[in-house]
Amino acid sequence: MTSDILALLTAGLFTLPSGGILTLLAAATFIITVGGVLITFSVHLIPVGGAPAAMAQATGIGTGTTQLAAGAGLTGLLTAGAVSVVTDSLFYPLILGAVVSALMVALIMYISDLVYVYGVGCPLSSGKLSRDPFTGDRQDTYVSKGTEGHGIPTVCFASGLAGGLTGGFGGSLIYLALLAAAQTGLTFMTAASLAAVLSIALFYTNAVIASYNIGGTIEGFHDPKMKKLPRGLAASAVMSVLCGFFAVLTVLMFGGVTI
Amino acid sequence: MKYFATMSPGKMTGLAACAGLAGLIVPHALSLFFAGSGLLSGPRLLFLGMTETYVFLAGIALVFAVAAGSDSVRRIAGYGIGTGVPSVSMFTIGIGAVCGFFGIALSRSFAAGSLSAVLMPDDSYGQILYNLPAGPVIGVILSAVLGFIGGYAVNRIVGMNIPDMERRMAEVSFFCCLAFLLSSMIISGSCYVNQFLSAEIVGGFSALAFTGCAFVMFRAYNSNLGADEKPDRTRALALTDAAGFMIILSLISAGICYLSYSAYLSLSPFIMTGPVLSLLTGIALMILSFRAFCGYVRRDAYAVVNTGLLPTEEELQ
Repeated sequence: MTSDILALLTAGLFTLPSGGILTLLAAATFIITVGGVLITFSVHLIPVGGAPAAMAQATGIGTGTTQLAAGAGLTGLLTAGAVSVVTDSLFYPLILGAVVSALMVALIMYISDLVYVYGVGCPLSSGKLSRDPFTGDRQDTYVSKGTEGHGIPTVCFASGLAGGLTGGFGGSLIYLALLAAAQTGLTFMTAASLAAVLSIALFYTNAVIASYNIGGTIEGFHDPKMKKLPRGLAASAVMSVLCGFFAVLTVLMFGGVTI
Repeated sequence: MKYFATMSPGKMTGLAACAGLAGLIVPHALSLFFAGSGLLSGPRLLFLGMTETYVFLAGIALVFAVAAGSDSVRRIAGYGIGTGVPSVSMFTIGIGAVCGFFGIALSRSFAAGSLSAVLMPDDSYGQILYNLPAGPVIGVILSAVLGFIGGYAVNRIVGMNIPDMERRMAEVSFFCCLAFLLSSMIISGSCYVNQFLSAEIVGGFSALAFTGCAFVMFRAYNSNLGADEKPDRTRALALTDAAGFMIILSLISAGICYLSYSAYLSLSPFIMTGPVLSLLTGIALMILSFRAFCGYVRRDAYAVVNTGLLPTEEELQ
């Protein structure tokens, strides 16, 4: 299933340069919309605790959604950019972007856990579940009174890894679509720099929509706030279509297309 | 500075919008007007793609645009959005950067496009629209429209339910796009496409313009946030931030200018005029706005206690 979707999208990327300008515009906008919606989805999966988590009063990583998603997503996106310099294949940037993004989230979560366990001195526990679905450990008895859990327990860690993979994949997808469109008229260096800046812009826009949707803190896929997901995806699709359209038009016009 | 800091919000937004749009156009127009008259014309006609002499006007416009944008950020974030103040300007700089690039690309399209041929059969009009960059102005207005739609999506679809959010989001993305274009203009010297591509995009400084604009926009309210936050003090801090940002940008601009064209310095001493003028303007604005900010801090503080000079070694013994 996943490989089918991947093959379909990559086939779309491969056929981009052969069609006319309007086909190119429509296809690239569509791929950017898919990437933007994936980014919004991924931010919902990452355990973000915000300011309460920084004081070990809520489960998750102790920083804001925007900065966290952007930090992990941009790592993946820039990796995709670096990989696309040395290879023409479209699979490597996509997969490596996703893996590196997940690695970045994993490192952040691991270091946070070290701080919570050895620095703050609190057990890792989730406030939203009574038992961890992966390890089967009791959670609720370890949550201190007046708090909503501490640190990043196994279930949140797994959710965060999935979020990193999805977000990095979505960011790389946006970058590659813009790169393919820009390379019709520009040299590789100019096209890559332009695509990188524009995809960072689209990444931030979608990450903030997700962060408004979850309103501060979320634990991962098991959190009740996941019920709000469709609204976030709808808002993200609207903004991705609009911004993606103008972004693709921009790179095409820089490449010599005139209107 | 004090007059600007205590102005009513609506008046200031209008003033900053006019100043910002003028800052996009006036440096190019002045440079064209004084073409060929030595010092006033600047070096652009000697070497195509140089920093405009009058780019410091764009810097002044940048300072006011940032202050007005940060005032709108304050109005959105004052309702308590639950995800931190930075998210507002990070959202809008995404829209602003896309629209800013779109405006620059549109400017190129005006010079040699079928659109300008249809609208204006006389070819020289397209050239005028290119020379007085009309594309960026359209990009800035487009960013306000996209910001309004983004505010609608966030407010109604996601359900933030913050009164007047659409209008404020439109304002912030308008000023974000304006600040992005103006700061890019200070770095690369003008809004013309070739120069923009070589200095700004391939040089990688667009990343600095991107993050820098977002950061100066939200920092003033984020750091003044609290029970005793006063609008005029926040605005004075925003002015200070923007002036500091302008100093950094003009230092980069001077570096690019010197590295690229130092061989021509003996031919024309005016090559460095643009960056040096904008650096001096930035320092002057920084001093003025920081004095105003210090005045507000002293007014709002419970007491200001001077510690005196550090004790000398003899006094310590």
